[in-house]
Amino acid sequence: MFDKWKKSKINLSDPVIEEDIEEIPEGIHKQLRENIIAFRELFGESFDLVIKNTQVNGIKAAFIVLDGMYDNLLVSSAVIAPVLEMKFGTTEPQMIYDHINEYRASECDTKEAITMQDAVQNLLSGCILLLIDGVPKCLAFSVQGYPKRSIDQPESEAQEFGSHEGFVDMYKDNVTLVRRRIKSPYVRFETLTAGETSHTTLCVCYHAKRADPVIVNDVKSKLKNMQLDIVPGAGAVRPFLEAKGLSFFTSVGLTERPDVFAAKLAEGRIGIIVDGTPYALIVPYLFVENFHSLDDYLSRPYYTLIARLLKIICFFAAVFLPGIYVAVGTFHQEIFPSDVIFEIASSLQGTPFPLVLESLVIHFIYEIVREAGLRMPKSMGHAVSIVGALVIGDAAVTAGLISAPMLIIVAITAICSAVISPLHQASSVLRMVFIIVGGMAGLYGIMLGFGIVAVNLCSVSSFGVPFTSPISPFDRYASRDSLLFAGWKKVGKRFIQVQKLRGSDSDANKS
Amino acid sequence: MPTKANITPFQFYTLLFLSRTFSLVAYIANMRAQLSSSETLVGSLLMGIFLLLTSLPTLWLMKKDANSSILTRASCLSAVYEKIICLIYLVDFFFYGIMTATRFELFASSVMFPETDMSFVMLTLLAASAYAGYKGIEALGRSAVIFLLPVLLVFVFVFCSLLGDFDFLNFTPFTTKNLAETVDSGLYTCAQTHELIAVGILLPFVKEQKRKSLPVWILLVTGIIFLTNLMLSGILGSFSTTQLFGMYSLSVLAEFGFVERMDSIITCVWMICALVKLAYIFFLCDYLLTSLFGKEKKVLYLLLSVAVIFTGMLALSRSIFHFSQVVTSPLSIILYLVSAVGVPLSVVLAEKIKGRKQDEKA
Repeated sequence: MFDKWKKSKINLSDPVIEEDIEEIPEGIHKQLRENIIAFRELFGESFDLVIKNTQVNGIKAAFIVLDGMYDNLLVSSAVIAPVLEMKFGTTEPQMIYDHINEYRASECDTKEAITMQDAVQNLLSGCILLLIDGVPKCLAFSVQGYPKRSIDQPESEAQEFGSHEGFVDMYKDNVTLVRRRIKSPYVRFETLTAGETSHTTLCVCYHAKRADPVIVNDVKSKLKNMQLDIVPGAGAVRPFLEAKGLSFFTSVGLTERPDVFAAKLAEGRIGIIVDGTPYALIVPYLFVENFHSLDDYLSRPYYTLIARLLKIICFFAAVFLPGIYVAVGTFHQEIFPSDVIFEIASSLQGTPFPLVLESLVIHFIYEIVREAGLRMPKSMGHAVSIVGALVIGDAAVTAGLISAPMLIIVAITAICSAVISPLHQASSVLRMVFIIVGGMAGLYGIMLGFGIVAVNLCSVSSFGVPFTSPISPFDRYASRDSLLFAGWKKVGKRFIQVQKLRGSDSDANKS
Repeated sequence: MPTKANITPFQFYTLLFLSRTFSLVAYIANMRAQLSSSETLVGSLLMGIFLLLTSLPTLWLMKKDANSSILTRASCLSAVYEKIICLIYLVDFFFYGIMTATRFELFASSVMFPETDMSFVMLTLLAASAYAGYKGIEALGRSAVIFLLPVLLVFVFVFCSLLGDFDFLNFTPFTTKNLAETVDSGLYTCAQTHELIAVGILLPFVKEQKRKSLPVWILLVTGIIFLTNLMLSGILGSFSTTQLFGMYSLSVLAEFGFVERMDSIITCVWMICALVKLAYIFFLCDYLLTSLFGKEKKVLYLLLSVAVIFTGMLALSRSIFHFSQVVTSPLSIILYLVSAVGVPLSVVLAEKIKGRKQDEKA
């Protein structure tokens, strides 16, 4: 039985190979006809493959392009017209090819494709290919012009005072958004390809004078060695950049804002823009950054201090409050003042379930409602709100299934977890864990759990930089922008390089 | 032997401070001698003096070379000598691990879970500590700094909320018992400060200024023990001598606004100290076993350490009588003196002799 299972497992993991599908030929033929046949066989019945036979200076040639991937106007004005109108005093194909490569179509980027693989890759990227009879290579003109989303306000990181521009799906547009914010020649954008099937472009961005070259190379090497078939989004790249060891918290930052991204690059971090996704990744990433937002830097420092303290309190409430309530209600009732304990006891007496089960069920229902709110069509929003608020909330209390204090706890937890959205995933899982622990071992169990989570958090190093820096190890200068913000007059005096924070690998080597 | 780590002296000594704080909290008062409330103050000052005196060989060791572990230096003298020292320290830390676990078991079974079988609780705590130890000294040092804040807050809270109950009339004359018993008490309290032994072993993990920080740490430890005894005597008076866990008795009395009982919250914070203490003991056990056998098998060594400490704890914690017999036996003082004084002193002296011989040859 196990052999059968093993066999089926092997079959599942094996790549599907269909023998009648043509492999990409290695080289480009000298004869134009052969090349056209090769392209036709490769793309099969695909309607969007457009092959236009023509003559360039009396020599047979062909333009090949994928319909819908190019800019019509640019193709006709920058490529077809200059090439077809060309008058050149020779009929030698190679010389015509070289002339076009060097002097024609100067309005767009031109690349040479030596192999068929290159040619196909350029074609799939939206380039128009020019093949000339008698030349065993082709020219690829960058005339991409496919439909795309315009630059819009970031949806997941809305800010009060910051820019209203957010990243879009096209990586080149995102690069432009970043370039506009840091006008420095030292900001480098290097591209890599990931995904064996999708060939997704990844753009590694860093400030050459501030980023640690060791970290830059490490990031590049991790990205190059990724084993992915397709890259559906930035989240798929994230696990390959995460720190070693299991942790509830991610050590790779995610942002939708070009201003935040640019600021991180200026601190020596490395950004990764993934083509086709409006989110960019940032490494090294620190735990305190989960509590930062752009508005913190654009508000008065005293308000920023309050805002950040609120976020930290919200994080602790989102993770521990239900667990603590269960623990206190089950084991440590003496903590409540006498009049409060009476109210809670009377409300608990009317419910049929133990406190821990009640808490788990109501939080589970909350997570369902939240997930429904995220995935459902917007038109159904009101219906879910009514079901969530009235049916689950009011009716469950009236029916005596859930106690009213528990509902208040869930409401506070839900609001608090919305405040710290970058930590939402970790906090929702940890919350459930601490409810169970609180129900089993009371406050002592919760404290032990907190200890383990804290040690786990402290053991994480994101590319050699301690995840808990600059709190522990404490870095005096960097701490001016950690839990509090000391204001631009103090923080702006000199820039921070993340790889030089105390406790990081470079700091260790220095000592 | 793994030595690459990067912790600051502040992190390192905070780790040791929290470790020592647990011994203070779970200290079973007057197990050896029935000292009066005032004499415990003298005893804690004497403990500080003994601690400072017994730290001299370690300071001497650090003066010569503050970047090499005592084990590395012993290995330069002789490989056999290193193994012997490793074995002595290993016995030491197994012993301290068993004592810490037993102390916690007695504390938990009388305060935290009086009606629960403690085996599962203890196994959970030991597993959690072993996990923390597995994460290494960097993770422990960093987390110790995070845990320091609640621990200090608890001390400040307990002392401040009970300040109104402090009465100098609670202090008895210093001469109710003879001085020998007070000295004895100071010596036994000093012997519980096994953190001093760890300093010599963990030196290469700590960056810069490690030597200057040791006397400061001793002063702080003495200060907090003295302050706790002062508050115990000033608030509870002679009643404190009848309490099993003095610091816990204080936390039961502490109130905060409308919350009348804070003891379970405060006990939670002490629990973190227990976690830190056991975690660092596990880390040391793994480190010493690696040095002894020369192979890195972290999981195996940690499991072995958990098994040894858990078995030892089960045997000792059957009754407080058994535990007090071990605590009050001269074994703990002998172990402490051999490890904290004898071993560093022997290494320094052997190095001197070897140096002289080499000079003579040259």
